[in-house]
Amino acid sequence: MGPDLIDYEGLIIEIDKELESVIPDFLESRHKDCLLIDDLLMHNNMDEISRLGHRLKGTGGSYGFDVISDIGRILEVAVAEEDPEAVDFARQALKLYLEQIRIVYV
Amino acid sequence: MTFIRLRTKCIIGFTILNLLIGMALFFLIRFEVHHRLEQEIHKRGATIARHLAESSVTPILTENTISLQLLVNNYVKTEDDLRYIYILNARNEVLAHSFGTAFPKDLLKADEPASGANKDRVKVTKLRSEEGLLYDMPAGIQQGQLGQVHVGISEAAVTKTLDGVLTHLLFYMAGIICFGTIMAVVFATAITRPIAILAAGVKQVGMGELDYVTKINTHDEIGELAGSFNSMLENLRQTTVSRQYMDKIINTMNDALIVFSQEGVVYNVNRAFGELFGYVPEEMIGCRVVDFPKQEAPRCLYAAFENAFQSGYLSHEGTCLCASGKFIPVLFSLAMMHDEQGKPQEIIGVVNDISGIKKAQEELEKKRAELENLNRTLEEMVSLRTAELAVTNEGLRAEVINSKLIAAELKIARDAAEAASVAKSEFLTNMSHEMRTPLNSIIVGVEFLGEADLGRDQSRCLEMIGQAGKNMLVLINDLIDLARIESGRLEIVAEEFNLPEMLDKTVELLSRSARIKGLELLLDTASDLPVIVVGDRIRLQQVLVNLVSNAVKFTLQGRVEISARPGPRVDNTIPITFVVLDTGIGIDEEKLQTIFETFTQADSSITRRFGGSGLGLTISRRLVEAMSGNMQVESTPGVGSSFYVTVPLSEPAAISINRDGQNANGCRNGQDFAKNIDTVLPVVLLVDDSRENRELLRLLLLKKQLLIDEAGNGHEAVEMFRENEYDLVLMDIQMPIMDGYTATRQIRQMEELAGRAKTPIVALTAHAYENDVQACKEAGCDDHISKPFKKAALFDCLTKYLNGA
Repeated sequence: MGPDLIDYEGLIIEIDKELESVIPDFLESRHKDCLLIDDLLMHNNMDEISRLGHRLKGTGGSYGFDVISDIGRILEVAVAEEDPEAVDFARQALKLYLEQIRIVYV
Repeated sequence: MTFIRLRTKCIIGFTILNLLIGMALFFLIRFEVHHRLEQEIHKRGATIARHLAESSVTPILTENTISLQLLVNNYVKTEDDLRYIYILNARNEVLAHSFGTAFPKDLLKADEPASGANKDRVKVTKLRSEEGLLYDMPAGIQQGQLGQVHVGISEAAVTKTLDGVLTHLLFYMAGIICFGTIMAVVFATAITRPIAILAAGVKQVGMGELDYVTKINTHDEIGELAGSFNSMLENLRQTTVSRQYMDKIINTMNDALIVFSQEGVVYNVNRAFGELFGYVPEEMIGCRVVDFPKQEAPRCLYAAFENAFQSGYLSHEGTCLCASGKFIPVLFSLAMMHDEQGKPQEIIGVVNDISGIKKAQEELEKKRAELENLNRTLEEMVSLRTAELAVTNEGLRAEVINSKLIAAELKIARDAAEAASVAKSEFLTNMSHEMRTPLNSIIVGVEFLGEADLGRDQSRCLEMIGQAGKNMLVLINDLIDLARIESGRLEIVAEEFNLPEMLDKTVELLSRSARIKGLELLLDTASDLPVIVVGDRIRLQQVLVNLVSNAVKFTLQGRVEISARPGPRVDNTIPITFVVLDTGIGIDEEKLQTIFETFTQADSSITRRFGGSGLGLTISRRLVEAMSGNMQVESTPGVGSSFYVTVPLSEPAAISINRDGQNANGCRNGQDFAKNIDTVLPVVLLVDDSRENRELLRLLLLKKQLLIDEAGNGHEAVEMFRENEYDLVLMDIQMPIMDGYTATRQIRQMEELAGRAKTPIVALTAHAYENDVQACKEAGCDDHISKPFKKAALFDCLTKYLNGA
């Protein structure tokens, strides 16, 4: 059972118009990351989850998605604390976030 | 041997020479004149005799002896110097004579008949008479056939004439000898005077007067000798220590010194000797040691040396009598001085007063004896006490063990407390991080919901949640900082930054809050404020933001003013004083003392009224102190407060950028850098294992006039760097195969080995703690950009490192 989450429905994210061409691919990759985390968690491959978390932390904010960076940070901490529940929490948060956001290019 | 001056010798010599010459001349002249006068008399006598012989012919033939006698008398009367005349006939009978009545018969015996062999040759016979020597000159009458005429002339005539001549001669010769003697004196003086000067010079030099200069300007051998002498003196002055200098050294010595001859005559004594033994040094010089009393120093030393003369050196301890009659213990050294040939010269003695040492030795001996006594007593006491202690020893051992146990427990307790403190700080840091992440999401969510169409109560509720979230975020950030400071993990970095730009950004950051409250937010920077400085930009800005936001928070109306002024430069460091002034509520005087303490606000009601954790000022002050600065506050309740922050910032060595952001090449220090790039485009190497990040960076840099290469890990980056030249490397740190630290180190090593110029490497790291940044710098990175990065940060970096490309 996951933790209570904030409802992000309809959350508008303003993204630099310059990045419009790469954003769909980026978000698609993040959707895949949700599945990947699930798979890695199942195989208890915590090292890879940590590396993924680190990558998300470094990439998300750069594209304009600060929350993705926060989720990446949570993943890193969760692996360090050996807390699979926290990893799952982060996965669910990422999935929910990706489902709820609406991109506005400015 | 009697000393006779050269001048005297010369005068005597010249005078004797004059006398000898005079005497020689005298005798020569006397002999010659006498001879000539004698010849003259002989000739005259002969002439008279011949004349008489001729005049006697007729009277003899007529036997008229009377005529002959008259003739003789007539001649005798007319010629003064004639002593006699007598005429003999052929039978040698006297016909006439000038002797009066008695004719001296012995004349006839001595007479020999005149031969007529040589008519011109006068035969002269010297006769001695009572009147003296007489010259007898005969002349034959008719060649002797008729008889002979004898004329006798006294030598007195010759002597008289000769005496007259010699009298004159002696007078002249005396004059000549006097003149010659005067000339001898003059010449002798002229010759010997320079020699005397030279001799005096030699004597002075012999006495050690090396500064003496002989003043002889004659152009002769003596002049040359004087010149050579002066040259020799000059050489001596350069190579020899002068007598005055030696005297000065000897008289400055604290050791007493005496020099005497082998015969025991005192040659020299220094000041210290005089002072030690109570003599006047000048009075001692020249005295014989035997003139001193037996136990007095000079005699004592001389006697000691005589005893050990064979060794040539003596060092001895003894006692000497002073002039005052007091005995003093001395340590003396005596040595024989030798000349260049090894011949013994003078004896040198050095004497030290060892009264103090002797006294100290005696004291020491006394103390040693006392100590030995004390030691013996102590040993006895210890033996007694040992016996007593043996009884209580067991009890003490138990006490010692107990003490050790207590100490061990205390150590364990202290270690536990320290570990707990560290654990607390780490826990606080970690927890704060975890709290901040969801809190960010809450704040974003609340802001988003605020834009939705909600009822009034719902909006107020949302506003309260939002405000609470923001307050909580501030508190968490403060807690993280405080925990980091307290756990000693706060690291101050030194990086170059644009100071006016940082101040502008600070003001810009808080301008909205000030505007909402209707406050005026002013920035005043000094004209001589340095532009590019080296310091911890982030921490300095944090302090200023904190102070300004406090000022805005506690000011209800009026203004908040920030000013920055440079202080006097010390080496490369300039202390910059930042003042944050407000017209707010102010702080009571008694609260000013505690305002910087943790969790303290001037009034607890303030927290309720204005919010805030109460950690801001504490953190600010701790940060300022960590930057080697100081922070002070002045405040008047109801009027306002002024916070003074002074932080030492240094200037970079090479970069020179003026107030308008113009660097030395005239390029603006901003986004316009690309305008200055000519046809040669800068090449940037992007190193990141994330394809998405590389894509993003490429996209962002697309509009910049740059050439971009990409590497997926550190190893690829190193290989590409080996093959190509880059103007900038953007290096991710955490990568598979080879991480950014290793790659950076290898690149730096490669540059060093190949002698390549250093390429700027900027780390892209999601680890943004100070120690991570420090690790990047240690690996060789010039700078870092925290991930996730913002476009502005990326462009600032490009401006900074590609401006000169």
